[in-house]
Amino acid sequence: MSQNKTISELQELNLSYLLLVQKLILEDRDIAIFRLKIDEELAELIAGMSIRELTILARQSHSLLQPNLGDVSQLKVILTNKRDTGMQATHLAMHLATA
Amino acid sequence: MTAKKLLDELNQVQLAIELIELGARLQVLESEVSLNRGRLVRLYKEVAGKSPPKGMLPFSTDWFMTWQPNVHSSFFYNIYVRLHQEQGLERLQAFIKAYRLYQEHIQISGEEEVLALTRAWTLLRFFESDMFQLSRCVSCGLKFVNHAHTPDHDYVCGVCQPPSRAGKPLKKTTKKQNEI
Repeated sequence: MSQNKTISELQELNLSYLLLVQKLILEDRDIAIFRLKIDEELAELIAGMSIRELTILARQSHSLLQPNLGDVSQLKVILTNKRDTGMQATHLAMHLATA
Repeated sequence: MTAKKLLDELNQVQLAIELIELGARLQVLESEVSLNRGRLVRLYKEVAGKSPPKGMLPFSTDWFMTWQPNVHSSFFYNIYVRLHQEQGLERLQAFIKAYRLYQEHIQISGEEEVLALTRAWTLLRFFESDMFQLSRCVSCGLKFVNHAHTPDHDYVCGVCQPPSRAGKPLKKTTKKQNEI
């Protein structure tokens, strides 16, 4: 029972994610591709999906989101940097911009 | 005048307005926008509400090598490279969008806006005239702005190995204390 609940949470998350992706692409396609780290083809496809298609996709018991954190060892170096110079946020942003 | 020409001109005016709003100096407009100087000055006055500042642009590459500006410049330039070279955006569009993304990060992280638009543009020009290269930090693996032709096989960036006196600017700490 509790597993079913978790799965439905995942399905909800999938749907909100897909809707957010559509919104981002509509606002600014280039920036959306940059933020989401997807390619032109996928952006095109998701942007053109109907609500019915989005719902079918979202209902799968798979996660449609994948962590986009770049190279893990590099991420570790940035997160465990001992010297706090107030630059960590920018360092991380730079890592994600190139991930 | 044909309709096409009018549209071109309209696009140039819009581009100029966008650049002025982002803080571009007149020199940036003069080289990136194809409108005559007189019209650019008038546009500048209308959009910015003041006369364009006089004087030359900073032309030294040294500023980009100092600690905090180097990190911010590198961050901005990495976004630009992503948009221009990898996503194939046209140069100026990539530049403007990269600058907006930089500003967005500054806003979210509450950091100081170190890199003004005109500086960012100067940086782009320095790269285009091969005065700079990107050097990969051996510790974090990210690429940073560096003088061209500098040996960089053991390069370490300013965040992984900050200079001894580096830290949050004094201004900010005093501001925070005042808030408390």
